[in-house]
Amino acid sequence: MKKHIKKWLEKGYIDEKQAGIILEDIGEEEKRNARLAMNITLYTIGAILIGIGAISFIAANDWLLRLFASRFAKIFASLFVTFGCFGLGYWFSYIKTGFKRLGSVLIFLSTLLIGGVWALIGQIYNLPTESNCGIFFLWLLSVLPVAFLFNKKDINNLSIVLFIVTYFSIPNTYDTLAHLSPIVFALILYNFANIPLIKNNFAHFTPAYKAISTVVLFFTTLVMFCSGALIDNYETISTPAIATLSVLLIFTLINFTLNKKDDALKAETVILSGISIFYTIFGINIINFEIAAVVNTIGLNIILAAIILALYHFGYKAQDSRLVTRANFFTLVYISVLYFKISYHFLDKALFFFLGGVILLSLGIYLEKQKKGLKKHAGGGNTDEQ
Amino acid sequence: MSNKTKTLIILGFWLVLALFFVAVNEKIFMTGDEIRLKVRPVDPRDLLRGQYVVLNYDISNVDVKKDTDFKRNDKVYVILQKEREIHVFKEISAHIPTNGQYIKGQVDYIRWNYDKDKNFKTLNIKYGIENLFAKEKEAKEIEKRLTKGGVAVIKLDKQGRAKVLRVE
Repeated sequence: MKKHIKKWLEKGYIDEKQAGIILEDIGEEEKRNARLAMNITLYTIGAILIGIGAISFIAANDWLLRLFASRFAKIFASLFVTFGCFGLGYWFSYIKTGFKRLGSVLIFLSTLLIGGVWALIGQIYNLPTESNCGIFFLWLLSVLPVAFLFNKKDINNLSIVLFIVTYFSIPNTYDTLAHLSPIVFALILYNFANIPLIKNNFAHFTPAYKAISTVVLFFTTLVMFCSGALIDNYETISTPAIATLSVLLIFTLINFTLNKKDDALKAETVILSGISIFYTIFGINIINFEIAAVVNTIGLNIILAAIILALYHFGYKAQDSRLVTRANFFTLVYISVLYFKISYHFLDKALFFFLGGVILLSLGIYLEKQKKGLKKHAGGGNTDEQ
Repeated sequence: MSNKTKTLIILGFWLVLALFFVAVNEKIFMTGDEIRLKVRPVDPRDLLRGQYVVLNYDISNVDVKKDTDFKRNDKVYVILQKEREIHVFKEISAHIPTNGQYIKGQVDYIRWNYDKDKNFKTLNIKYGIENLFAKEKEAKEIEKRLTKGGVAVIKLDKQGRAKVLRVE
């Protein structure tokens, strides 16, 4: 902004007095923002420390906790602290003005404490450690209404972490969904983000869902390509995986049908459906093994390229530098993997790099053309370079 | 919807979840019969709930004929019989037994015996009573105390669901 003011001053749009007032105003705003950021950071770190402290206290299972002789007293005390924390959070947020941030942090803290309550109940009743998945699920179930009813992004991020932990701690996941388990996880999260109700009313939640599922989709597909897991497990038919992928495909199509006008959703539907169908084919195991080997290599590379291209496309279209940075990172990883994977011989490598270079140059031309179109659309405005 | 209503909904929901979670586990404590099983402990740690003792029961490993149709993750019912004060293995069934005191479990894994002379395989069964949470120091003490074996006091309900109370 300061650079712009200097430019405006040089061009004579504003005089020195006006520039001075604006700069002073900006300075004060910057100081205020820095104080606020510091405040929020302290509150958040404090809340996280207390939350972790509470869970560790329960895990220590020590004399202080044993002061409450009966198991009901322990549960009641932990619920009382959690409810009290939530109540105080509500009071500071919506009744007593002036401590809104403290209120938000207390509500966040209560969502950590409720996890401690579930852990305590699990400890009291000596639940099997395999059932931690159940405890994480209960925690997730408790956190979700807070995130959505109060529209809180930090609590939604906690719910995503809990979803990841819950999903990957389900016992026997590998037996039922086999190596397709991470793909199913990513598709569930992405499709959830595309539910019209979530997309329209909680738009600020969806980037996190999509970012995580894209990372999981990309890296799992890359690992499948490098390890040949799909071909190695080709003989295994995983009925739960096929069923889940088919349900997810239907889910993707329903989301699209409910919001046909959304252009971004069209491209997302094509990619998501493609991924679901591709992995379902490998779950059903219906094509001949030799053909499957070729389909596997080509298909996985198409999926990887589609994810990267989609990120570039949406990133440039929405002028979102985070998506472009992610696409750059994925491209770098993909090229590095291909360099070592594709062939041992230099002539093949040379051909690969020629081809790769031509594709990337074409992509660059396409994106520049698109950016020109955007500038034209914005009336030749002064758009910043990405 | 006002913020007050939202708060009440969330707290009400948490309370219902807590009551349900407690009730499901408490039912066995309240209504179950007390039995004693022979046990040997191991001592690991759970990040969420702290130190616990893994209890390996005599009935955790059950030998069955090689041609029996037990698979991994199958639900099984182990019928118990009382010998002095301790309950021991009597029989295993894939179906709910009609009489006798039984405990419900799930086949965790199967150990095959490749010796041609021995016509049996060993089922490792989990009953959901393999963990006993304790204080950090106490867990070590229990482990030491029970190295040569001990007895676990269990609450067992009519449906074969069990909860571990303590070890002796």
